[in-house]
Amino acid sequence: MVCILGIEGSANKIGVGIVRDGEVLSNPRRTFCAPPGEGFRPTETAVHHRQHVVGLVLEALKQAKIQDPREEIDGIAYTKGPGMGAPLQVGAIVARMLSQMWGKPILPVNHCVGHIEMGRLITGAENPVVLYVSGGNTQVISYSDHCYRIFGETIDIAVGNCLDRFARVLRLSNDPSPGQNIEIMARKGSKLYSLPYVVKGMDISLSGILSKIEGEAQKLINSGEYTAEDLCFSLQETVFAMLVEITERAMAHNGSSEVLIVGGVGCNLRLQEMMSIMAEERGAKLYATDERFCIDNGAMIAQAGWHMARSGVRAEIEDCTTTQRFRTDQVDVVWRD
Amino acid sequence: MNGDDSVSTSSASHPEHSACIRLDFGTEEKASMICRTLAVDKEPKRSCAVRNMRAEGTALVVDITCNDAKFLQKSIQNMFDMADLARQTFDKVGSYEYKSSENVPAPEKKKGKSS
Repeated sequence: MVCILGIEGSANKIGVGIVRDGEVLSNPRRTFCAPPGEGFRPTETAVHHRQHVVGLVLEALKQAKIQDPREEIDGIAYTKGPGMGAPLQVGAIVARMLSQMWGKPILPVNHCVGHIEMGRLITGAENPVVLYVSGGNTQVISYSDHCYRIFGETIDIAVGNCLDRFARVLRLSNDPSPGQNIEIMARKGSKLYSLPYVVKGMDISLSGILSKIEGEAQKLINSGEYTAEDLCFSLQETVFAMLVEITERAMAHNGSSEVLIVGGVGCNLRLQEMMSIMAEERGAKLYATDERFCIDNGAMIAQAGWHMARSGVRAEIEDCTTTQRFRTDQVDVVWRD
Repeated sequence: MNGDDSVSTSSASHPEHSACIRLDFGTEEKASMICRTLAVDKEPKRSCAVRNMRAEGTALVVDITCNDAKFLQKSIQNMFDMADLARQTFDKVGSYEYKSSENVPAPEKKKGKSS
């Protein structure tokens, strides 16, 4: 029986999760929301995380009914990267302290691998092509030979970043998340505004789309030709179609019959709908999780840490730094065949 | 927790600012744990600050030297913030005690909250 406590705080969400042998015992989380029209900045986000992280550790232990953490917790996992520097440091400091206090091994986890492993656990997908989409990452990933290989990715900004920045232009609320507020607006839109469709083989580019819709948004809305809802609808249709295309290309290349969407944008029901249409036409199966696990959380770090602990991965505290760039394919996936 | 902070200036052509910070944590175990925790993180690449950290008995002693007063200030601030976070972790999680009589919300419930 292996029980791991995971700490995740690479962006504006701080979460602590406890996982034991495939079961999520607790997973409390807090989100830092900037005012409408603004994004979250590293310094302010780190302040928020510092204010909440210790309380979340206690909350996670309580909810998991852990009586004596020294006896019941077998390892401490934290996000080594990628992410924002200052918020990452908060999670790492707490993990190092807990590791010393309880005398347990510390496990540095890649954020992307955390999403993948939680997605696989929750959905039961065996060997899917993974579309990992969030505010900080956009990658098409497939597992091969102890490595989560990146077949395609964004060559500039992440798709969630694109959506979030457009939400700022429209001054949508950041609560609970700008991406969700765009999704809700998009449902009421119906008129398609033509946007650049920038797929480059297996890769995509989003900066041009963002520049165009940002530059034209106020003009179009003022002229009455399009509503804000129409623009949200159009942005979603365009960028999600691009994501579906590169995912399908990876599935064809791998001969895969499973596709898994992870990351915060994976919550988007329209993206899931478009992906499921493609999967159905290919005779494949789509897997997706709900917002408990799509969005950054501590349990996903604990789950990846659980795999690492069981396969014998060990790290010295002196080596447990944080890094803002930590590519998915840098991880040696020793826990898979 | 208390700190003693002094800044001095040397050579006019290459001004060097330094700070010596001493934080007393009460016990040797606590001080050495916090020192080990904080020593892992290096100064950011763009910062020219040089930091040396050691535990002396019950106290954490940090020497920071820098050519730029702004980076020195940032380094001191970050060190204080992280030391306080480490101390909080030690104090609060260290005194964790499970009380079965408390009402514990089910873990399946959505825990997202904004602030």
